[in-house]
Amino acid sequence: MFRNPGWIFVVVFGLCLAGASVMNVTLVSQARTALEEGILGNRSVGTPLTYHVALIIPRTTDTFFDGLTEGVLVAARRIDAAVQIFRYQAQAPNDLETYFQLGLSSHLDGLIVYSGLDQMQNHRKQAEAEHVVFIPVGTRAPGGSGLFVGSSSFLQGVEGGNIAVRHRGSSARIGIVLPAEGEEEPRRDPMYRGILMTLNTFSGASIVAASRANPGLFSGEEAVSSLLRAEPSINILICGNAPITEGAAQVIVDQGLVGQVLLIGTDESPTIDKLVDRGVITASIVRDSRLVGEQAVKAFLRALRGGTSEPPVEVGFTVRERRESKR
Amino acid sequence: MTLRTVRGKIVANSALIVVLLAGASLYSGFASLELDQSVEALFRNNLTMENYQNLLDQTQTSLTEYLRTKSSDSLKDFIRNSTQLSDRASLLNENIVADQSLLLQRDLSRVFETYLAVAQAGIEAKRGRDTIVYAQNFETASREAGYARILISDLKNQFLSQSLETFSYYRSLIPGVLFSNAALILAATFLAFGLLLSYSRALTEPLSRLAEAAAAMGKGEFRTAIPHVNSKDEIGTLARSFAQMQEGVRDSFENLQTRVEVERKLYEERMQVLELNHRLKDAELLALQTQINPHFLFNTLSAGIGLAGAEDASRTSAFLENLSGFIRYTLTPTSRFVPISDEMDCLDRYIWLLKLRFEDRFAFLVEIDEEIRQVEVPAMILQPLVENSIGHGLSDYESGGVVVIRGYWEDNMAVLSVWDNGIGMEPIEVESVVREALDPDPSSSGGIGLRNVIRRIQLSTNGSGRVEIQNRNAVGLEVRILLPSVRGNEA
Repeated sequence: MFRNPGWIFVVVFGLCLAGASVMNVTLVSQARTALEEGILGNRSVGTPLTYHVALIIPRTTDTFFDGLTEGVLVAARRIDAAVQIFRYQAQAPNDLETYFQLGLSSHLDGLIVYSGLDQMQNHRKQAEAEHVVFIPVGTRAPGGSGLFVGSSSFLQGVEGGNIAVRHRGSSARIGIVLPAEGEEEPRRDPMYRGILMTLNTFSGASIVAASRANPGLFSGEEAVSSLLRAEPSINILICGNAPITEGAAQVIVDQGLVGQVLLIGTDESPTIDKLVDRGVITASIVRDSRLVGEQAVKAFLRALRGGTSEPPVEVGFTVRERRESKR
Repeated sequence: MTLRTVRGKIVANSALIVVLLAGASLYSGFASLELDQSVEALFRNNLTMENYQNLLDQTQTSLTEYLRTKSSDSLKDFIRNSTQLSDRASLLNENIVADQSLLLQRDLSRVFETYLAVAQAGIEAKRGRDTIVYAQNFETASREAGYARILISDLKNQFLSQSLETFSYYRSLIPGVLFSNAALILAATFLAFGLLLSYSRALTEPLSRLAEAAAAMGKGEFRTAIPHVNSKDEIGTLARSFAQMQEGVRDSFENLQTRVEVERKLYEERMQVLELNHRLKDAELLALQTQINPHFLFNTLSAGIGLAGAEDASRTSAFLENLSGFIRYTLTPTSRFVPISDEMDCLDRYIWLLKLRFEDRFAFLVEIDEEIRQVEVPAMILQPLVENSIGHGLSDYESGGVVVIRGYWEDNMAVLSVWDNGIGMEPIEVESVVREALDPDPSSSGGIGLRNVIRRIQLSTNGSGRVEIQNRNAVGLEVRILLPSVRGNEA
């Protein structure tokens, strides 16, 4: 058969044709499947779950919310719940309200909401009226009874004050930069009050300035720069969240103040971990937002089963320092 | 037209190639076209959401219109729109699944449900003229419609985001699709080329070999092997017929060759005959010449005999008579057979003449048995032997030379012997004489002498007669002629 070279052509290019056809069919099939998979009704929906929960959080770069979301998703998988995530603009209260009302109108099983104290109380009542489990999460527990899961900013402030006086003692001149998400003026912020409470027990050390960062990517840099310019005596900076901490570290490095101005940050991120190891950040008080999320889901399940009068759940924090961390 | 014919095979092969190329081209074309059309799917969800929004807006408009005017048309519109919206809403996902867009659909479905329920309640309140209730319901419906629009907007954004992702993935596949399309068409083209090549070779190779065989046959090589073709098409038939034709031509050619060879031999024989005739003519002419001269010689000798008688010269008369007889005998053709008695008469005349010439220098003794006198022998076989004895063996003898001629039977053969007491012959000379006598080349044995005698005995007896040459007692030479014959009968 192969005495005729034409048959070699036939065999080789027959195989090529078959290969090209298979490749083409496969690729076209993949492309077609990809295109049609997204069409309503075409996609495989997987196994139906039991609960439908919405997580309503601000749209921000704060890593606290990344941890919170991760914790909620992990815990939701354990209880057979699907989590729908709504992100609202932090400076647009109506945005939060809309998603909350939407959640109620959709008759979801539960709403896990990060919001201010005022909205929290109001939402609690509306949710109760619609028979929707409402789990507020945050850094500030509402007064009285009712479900709440969070890591208190007040306690963070207390720990921040402790770290400050441990390093500077009575000479501590503290500047505080709070997150933009807060509602009240800085002196009423729980973190500020926590720091102040510590300093009240330690004479000499003082808070010389406090400000709230504006929304935006570089709000931390702007606020810290302004603060240091306005109060050059500041030798300790305490920041209210991860983005502000990273921005403050940048300013301190840029102005050559590493070692002169101690930086006590909040929460964690790869950048913060690196800066802590390099000594730019003295310590970071890390709220365990992932644990907050997990506890929120557990609280949802308990509330669904009738446990609506539980006390607030405080998940605590860890301190990330250069050499060691402590709980 | 069947596949057993060359035409059928060519058409089938061409059709296969055309179908192959057309199939590859059409497939790649349709696949590309379908993919292109599938891109529409990227935006189908957004179009669906747009339809939901339009339907919602129309439902809300008809609700508003009815609550404001209570017109039956607006109510019909509301019923139609709300029914469609309800139907469409039932297509949305209702399951709780871990997928953001599906969960949004579930939200939308429930918001639509709430909206339609509240709107229907508003319609009922309007009919019941319960102003406060339908106003509240309208407000609630409007708020729910707002939520639905938010959800639709979110879904649109999600679908758009998904579409972009899908499109990116799709685009990442496109080069591969294009490459495989090109490869497919190229492979199909080369495959078609291969089919064409192989088939044309399969088709033409037997023809080429047949052509080579035909060319070889044209050069006369009728033994060239004809290619064996198994196919049952025209080429197979042609090959088989050609093989038969070759066999026929080969047989005919061989017959022709044989015939030509026969004709050539015949021609050669004819030429030989012509040559012989020509020689015969020459011989006849020579014979006529030789007949003329002997007549003149014999007439002259007869006149000499008459003159000698008239002058009483008896010895001269005897001399002329013997000489005339001897010459007459020598003119006898040597191929003729004569009785030994005739041969002896001639020899007696020859001896008389020798004695006249040499007187008593040589002695001759003749002993011939009566029984062999009538045996026929070729003419002129004894005289040359005697002449040989006188001229060679005894030439140096002044006297005492003896020549003995004998004739007798020996072992059923007639023997003629001539012996002389001369110098004889060296064995090598004897061998040379015999070899030259037996040489078929006539030029080597010309003349009348011992060689001539040996050759004529061989030829006239077909090898059964022979001549023996022997030296006797270290003196002389005996030449014996042995002729096969039957005693008492003539040969």
